[in-house]
Amino acid sequence: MTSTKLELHKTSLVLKIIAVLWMVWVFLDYWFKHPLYPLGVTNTFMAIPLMHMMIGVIAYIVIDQVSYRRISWLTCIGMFLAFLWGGTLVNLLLYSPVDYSFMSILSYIGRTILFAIFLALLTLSAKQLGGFIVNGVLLPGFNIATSVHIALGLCCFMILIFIILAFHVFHPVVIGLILFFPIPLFYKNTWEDISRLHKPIGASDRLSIIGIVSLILIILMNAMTFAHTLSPFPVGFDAQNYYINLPKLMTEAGMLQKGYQPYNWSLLQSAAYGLVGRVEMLLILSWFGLILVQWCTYEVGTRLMKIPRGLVLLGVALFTYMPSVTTQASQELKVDLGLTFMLLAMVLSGFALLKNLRERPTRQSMVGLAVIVGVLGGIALGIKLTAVIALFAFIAILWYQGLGRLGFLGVFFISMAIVFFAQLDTRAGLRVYHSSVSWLQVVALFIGIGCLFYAIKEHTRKGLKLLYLSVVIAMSCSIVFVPWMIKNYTEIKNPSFIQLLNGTNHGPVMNMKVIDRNYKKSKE
Amino acid sequence: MKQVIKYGLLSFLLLMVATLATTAQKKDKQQNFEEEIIRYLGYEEIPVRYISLPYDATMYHNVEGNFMDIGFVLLMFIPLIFLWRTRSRIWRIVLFTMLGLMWIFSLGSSHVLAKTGEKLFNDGEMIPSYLAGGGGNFLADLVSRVYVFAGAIYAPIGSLLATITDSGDHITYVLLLGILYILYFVYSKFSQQAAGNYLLGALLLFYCFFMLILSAGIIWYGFLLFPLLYLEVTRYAQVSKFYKSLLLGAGGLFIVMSYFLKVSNTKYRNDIAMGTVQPPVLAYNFSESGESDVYEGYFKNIGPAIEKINAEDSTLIFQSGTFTTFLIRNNSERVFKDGILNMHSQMVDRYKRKSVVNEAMKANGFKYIVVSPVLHIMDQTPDKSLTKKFQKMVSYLHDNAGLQLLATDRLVQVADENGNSSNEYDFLFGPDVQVVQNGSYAIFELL
Repeated sequence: MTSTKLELHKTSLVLKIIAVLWMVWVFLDYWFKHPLYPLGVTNTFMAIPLMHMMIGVIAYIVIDQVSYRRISWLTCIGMFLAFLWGGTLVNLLLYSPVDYSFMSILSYIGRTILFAIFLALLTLSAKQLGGFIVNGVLLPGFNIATSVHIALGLCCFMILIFIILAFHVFHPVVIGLILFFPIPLFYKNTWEDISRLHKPIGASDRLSIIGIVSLILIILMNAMTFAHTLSPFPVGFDAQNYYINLPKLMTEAGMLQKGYQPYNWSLLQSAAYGLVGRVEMLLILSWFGLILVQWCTYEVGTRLMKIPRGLVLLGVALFTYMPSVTTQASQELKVDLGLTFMLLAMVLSGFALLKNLRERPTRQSMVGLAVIVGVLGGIALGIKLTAVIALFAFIAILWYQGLGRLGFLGVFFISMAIVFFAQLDTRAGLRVYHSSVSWLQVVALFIGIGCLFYAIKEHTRKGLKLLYLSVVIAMSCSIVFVPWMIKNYTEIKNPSFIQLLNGTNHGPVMNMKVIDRNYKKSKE
Repeated sequence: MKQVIKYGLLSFLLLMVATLATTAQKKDKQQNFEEEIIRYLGYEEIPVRYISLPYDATMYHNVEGNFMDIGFVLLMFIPLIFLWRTRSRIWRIVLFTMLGLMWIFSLGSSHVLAKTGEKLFNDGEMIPSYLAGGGGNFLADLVSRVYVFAGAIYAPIGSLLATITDSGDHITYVLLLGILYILYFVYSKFSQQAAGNYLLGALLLFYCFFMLILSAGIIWYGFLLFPLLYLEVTRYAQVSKFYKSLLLGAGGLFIVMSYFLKVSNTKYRNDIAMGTVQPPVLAYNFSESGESDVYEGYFKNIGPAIEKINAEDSTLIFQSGTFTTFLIRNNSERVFKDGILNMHSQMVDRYKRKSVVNEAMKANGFKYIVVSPVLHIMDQTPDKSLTKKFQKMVSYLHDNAGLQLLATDRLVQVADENGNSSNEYDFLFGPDVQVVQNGSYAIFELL
C-alpha cells in the first residue's frame, strides 16, 4: 500500500488538543443548527430500525462466518431486497392505516424484483457495449475500470435515444433494441458476468470489519432511498417542475422537447419509461445515479488512490449518508448524481491517461484514452453545463504532469479567462458583485498564455504533445455535444454561441411588453 | 520551486496593480438573482460570502433544508488534514490563522437559533438580549456566547469590508486567488505522495476554486467534490491511529444521526414523522389507490381542479412557486412560470386595478392562476423584496370578483356569525387569520 508515501506527521499534543476542540465545536454548532436530528430520533417508528438492525446483524454474521468476509453481488442484492422489504413491510403492517392484502404484498415484491432485474440488465448491457468500445475499438487489451465501461455504454445509449427522439421513431421495440442489443451480441461476456455474480467482488483479500459494516450501511441507505422511488409522483420541487417532468413529456410526445438546456440523463429516463410504461422508472433511473456514483467512487478509491477497501467503503458510506445525497436520491430526484457518475468516470479514465503517459505511452493508447475522456466530458456537459469546470480541471492536471506547475498555472488562468469571457458567472447573477471581472479576464488570459508559452518554449516536444491531446479531448467532447447545439439552432435560429449552449426557454414567451401589447389589442 | 514562487507572486502582483489602476464601478442590484440564487451564498460583505461558505454550507447559515445538508465530517477533517500535513511551524500558523478567520467571519456574520427556532442574528444586540432574558439550555447558551465573542471581533472587520466592497468590489477574486495560492503552495510543498494522489489534490483545488466562484453556494453543482473529499478524508486513517479513532467516532455518529433523519422522514418546519415510506406511496403500492390518489395524498383537494385544467388544450396557466406542474398535461407549452412573482408584480404596478390585471391576463390567454401560499418563506433577502411581491399577489387574489378559487390545501380557522369556529380550506391571509395548515398550492380560475 502507499501508507509510507502518505504525509501525516506525528502530531504534537497541542495539535491534538486543537483537533479535538475544533471537532467538538463543529459538532456542537451543527447539532444546534440542525434541530431535525434529535426530532428524527424521537419521531422514528422504532420497530423499523429494529428490523433494519436485525437484518444487518444477520448479514454481518453471514458475511463474516459463512463467506469469510468476501462479498459477492448476489449477497449485496439479497441484502438490498431484505432491507427494502423488511423496512417497508414493518412500516405497512405496524404503522399504516392502508388496507393491504397478501396479494398486494406479493405484487409489491414482484415489482421490486422486476425493477431490480431491469437495472441489472441495463447495467450489464451498458458494460458490454462500453467494454467493446474500450477493448474492441479504442484500446485493445487495455485494463480500465468497469465503471468507465458502464459510463461509455450509457453514453452510447444516450446518443442513440437522442437520435430516435429527434427522428420520431421512439417506439418500445426500438428502445428495447437500443438498450439491450449488446446482451445477445456479446452473449459470451454477458454469460461470464452473470456466472460471476455469486463470486467475491474485486480483490481476493478479505474485507475488514469497517468495510463490512460500511457496506451493510450503504446497502441499507440504498434500500431506504429506493423505497421512495416506487411512486407515480416525485416529491421534490425541481423533480416535478423539471427533472422528472421533462422525460415524462418526452415519452408522451415521442420526441425531443422544445427549449430546456441539454438533458442527456433525461433521455435515459425517458427511454426506460417508454419501454416499461410506468412513471416509477423515471424516478428509479434518477436514483440509479447514486448506485453508479458509489461504484465509481469505490473504483477511484481502490484503483486510483490505492486506499484499502474497508476505508474506501467507509468513505462511500459517509458520502451516501449526506442528507443532501439521500434527499437527491429519494425526493429531489434530479440528474446531479448521474452527472457526478459521468464526471467520476471521466476522472478515472483521465488518470488512466496520465498513468499511461508516465509509463508506456503509445499513440493508440494515448489517443484512445483522450477520446474516452472527451466523450465522457461531452456527455456530462450535455447533462449540465457546469461539467465544463471538471473538464478544465482535468486538462489543467494533464498539463501539470507534462510541464509542471507552470503548465498548471497556464491552464488555470486560461480557464478563468474563458469562464469570464463566456459569462458563466452571470448565470448565477454573480458578475455584479465583482467589478474586477472586466480586467481580470484580460489579465488572466495574458498570464495564462504567458505561462503556457514559456513552458512550451522550455519543453517544446512535450508541450506540443499535450496540446495535441488537449485538442483530441476538446474535439471528442464537441462531437458528442454538437447534436444539442444543432437542436438549439433549429429552435432559436440564432447563431449566438451562448444561446446555442443554453437553448431557449420553454413555455409561453411572455414579458411586460408582450402582455401590454396583447391587452391593448384586445381593447381595440 | 523558486520559479513557481516567482511566477506565482508575479501573477499576484500584476492582479494587485490592476486592482489599484481600475476605478470602481457599482452596478445595479439584480433582484431576481438576489431572491432566487444569492440566498445560497449569503448576503454578507462580498468577500465574507465566499470565505465563510464552507462553514455556512455546513451550518445552514444561508439556506435550510435536508437538500442543503452536507454533514459535519468534512468541515471537521479537511482543515485538520492541511494542518497535519504541514511540517513547517510558520505554515501551520498561517493555515491556523486562515481557519480562524473563516471561523470568525462565519460566526460573526450569521445567527444562532432561539428555543422557538427563531433566528437571532449576530448584530451585537439580539443574542445578548436573548441570553439576558434566560436563553436556552447550558450548551446552547455556551454556543451563543462563542458567537457573541466572534461577533465582537468581526464587527470592525465587517464595517471596514463594507466600506471597501459595498455592492460590488475589486478585491474578492484577488483575495480568493491568494488563498488558493497559499493552499496550493502548502499542498505541493509538503507532498511526497504517489503522483496520482498528488495530481488528484491539484484537481480538487482547481475544482473547489471554480465551484466557489461559480456555484453561488448551490452545493449540488459541485457534487463531484464530495465523494473525492470523503475519500481524501478516509485515506489518512491508514497512517495515524489517533486520526482513525477520531474519524470512526465522528463518522459513526454522523451516520447514525443521518440514518434516523431518513428513517423518520421528519420534514423541515414540520415535525411530523412520515415513516420509511410516505403514506400516499405506501397506499399506492399496497392498496387499490391509483395515481390520482397519490397526488391527492400530497395535495389535498387538487383532483377536480386538475381535471378541469387538463380537460382544456390551449388555455394558459400562470404559475408561481408551486409543485403542481407535473400534473398538468402539456405543461411545457401551457405553463408560464413566474417563479418569484416579477411579472405579476409588474402587472399590478402597471394596471393598478384588479379588474384591469384580470383583463390583461385573459387577453394573454391565461385562464388559471396557480400559486404557492408559502412562497415568501424562501425569502432571505435583507430588504424582504420577495415577501413584498408576495403580499402584492395575496392582496390581488383576495376579494377579487374576477377570480374563483377552485382548490387549495391551505387550512384556516374561520368563525361563523355565532362565534363558533371551524376549519376550512381557503386562501386567507392576515393577522386575524388562524392558520391550521399552511398548505402548498391554490388554484384560481379567471372568470
